[in-house]
Amino acid sequence: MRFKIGYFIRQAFHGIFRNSIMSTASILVLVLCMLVVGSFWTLNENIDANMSEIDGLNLIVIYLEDDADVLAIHEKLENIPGDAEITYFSKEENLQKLKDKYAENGMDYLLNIFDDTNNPLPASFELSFDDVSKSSTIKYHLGQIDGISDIKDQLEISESVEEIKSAVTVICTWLLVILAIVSFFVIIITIKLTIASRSKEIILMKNIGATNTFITTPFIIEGIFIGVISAGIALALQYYLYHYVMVNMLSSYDIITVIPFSNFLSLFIVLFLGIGLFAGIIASSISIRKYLHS
Amino acid sequence: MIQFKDVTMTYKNGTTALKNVNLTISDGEFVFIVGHSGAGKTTLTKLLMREERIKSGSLIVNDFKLEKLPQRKVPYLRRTMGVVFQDFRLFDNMTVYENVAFAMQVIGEKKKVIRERVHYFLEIVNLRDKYNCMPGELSGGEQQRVAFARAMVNNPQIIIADEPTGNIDPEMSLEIMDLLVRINKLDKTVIVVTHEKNLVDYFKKRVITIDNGIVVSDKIGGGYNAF
Repeated sequence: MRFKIGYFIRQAFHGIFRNSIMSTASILVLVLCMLVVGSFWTLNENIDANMSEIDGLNLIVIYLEDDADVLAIHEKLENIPGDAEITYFSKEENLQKLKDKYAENGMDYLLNIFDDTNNPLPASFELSFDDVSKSSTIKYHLGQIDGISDIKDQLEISESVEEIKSAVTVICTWLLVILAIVSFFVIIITIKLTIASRSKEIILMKNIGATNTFITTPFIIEGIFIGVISAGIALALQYYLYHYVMVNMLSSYDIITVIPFSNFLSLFIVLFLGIGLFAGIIASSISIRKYLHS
Repeated sequence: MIQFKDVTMTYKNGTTALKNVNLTISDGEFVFIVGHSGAGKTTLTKLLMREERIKSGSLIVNDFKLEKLPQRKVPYLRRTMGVVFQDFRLFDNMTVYENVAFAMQVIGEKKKVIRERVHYFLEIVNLRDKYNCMPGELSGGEQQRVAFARAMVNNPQIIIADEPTGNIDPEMSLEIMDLLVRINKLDKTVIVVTHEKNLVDYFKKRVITIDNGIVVSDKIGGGYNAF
């Protein structure tokens, strides 16, 4: 048997065009699956990015009494579980920060009456926590420290945001997994139908004396073509869809950060080609096996 | 040469389709295989093509020992025979030429050789003028002749025709049988499975009669009256 790659490629193309309805159906299903997977992926990444923007919520500001022992408090703060990042601001620094803030709106003259001699602002510590899930424990420890006049925090809000973020990540991950599995079975069924519609051709090839490799190869190449074509179409549609929905519609809201599509491009090329080739090759091989052993 | 020695074949559901069949068909012979529906005729052709495996005994076809033949060598066995079916089994979306050429393409033959041989065999079956027609544009007899051209194009040693006249007019049946006789004269072994009493009686060839999986009669020049 002479194996001619040119013949196999021609046969694969003929197969696609001869069975144009089933080929189109396979491509549509694949494109749809890739778009669904791609859309959920981008959605998940964007939600994650926007949630990270709100990470500033896990900040606690502790105001000190004028006669407080700064070094002792700093030591106690360091002993609080949670590996906080601790920054100290003296009374002078806090006054300067406030003046700078007012200066942004051209109102710094209102604070010119204050200097080091009559500074009303207290010294402070800023504590930034990565893990805000233990907010009640942190607050309990802070309550045990002497010399603190006031505590400002948004730990409850931060905790809620963290919970939402985790839930969104879990839901999106599961949706991706479920969709990937469902997509794979839909593709197998579609390719099985394609091959079933050509069972007469396969059986006749066997009767004539074609080897299994000779029969299988064009179908595998056909699966590769269908996978690559689907990946190309899906990539173009995903780009258009992302631009239309995420960039054009959502970027007008200042509070929403939209990740540029270029950040996903290489990932999607690999992901879509992977899905297309995997589905095309595996589904073709599984589907045709039944006829080869008949 | 085809040689059945004590061949028994039982399907998975327990039905025994052939029992202790002993037969020898020499190269260049013309044989009719006759019998009622379900007698075992189709099973016999399936065994020849190794579509089914024998349960016991031994079967040799063109020097291939079928009971020991590995699956990967089955295609090479099948290339030594051409099969024609009652329902023609042509591709509706291929022309007459493409249908015949297909048989050569699947065994990896060169384009030039394919072109020469396809036209030669379309000439033999008197269809050279219709090489560009689609099967739907042909009569039943013409479609069966295309099937014969496809069966012969790879120059097999054996032609198996399973009810070749079952789907065509009586007048055309004679023409098809005449074609089979001409093929036989090219030193090909021809095996015809049929129900057509008139044709079997008319051609006076070797007739093997199967009934209930058993060869009940094997006569040269016999008729369709053995059972």
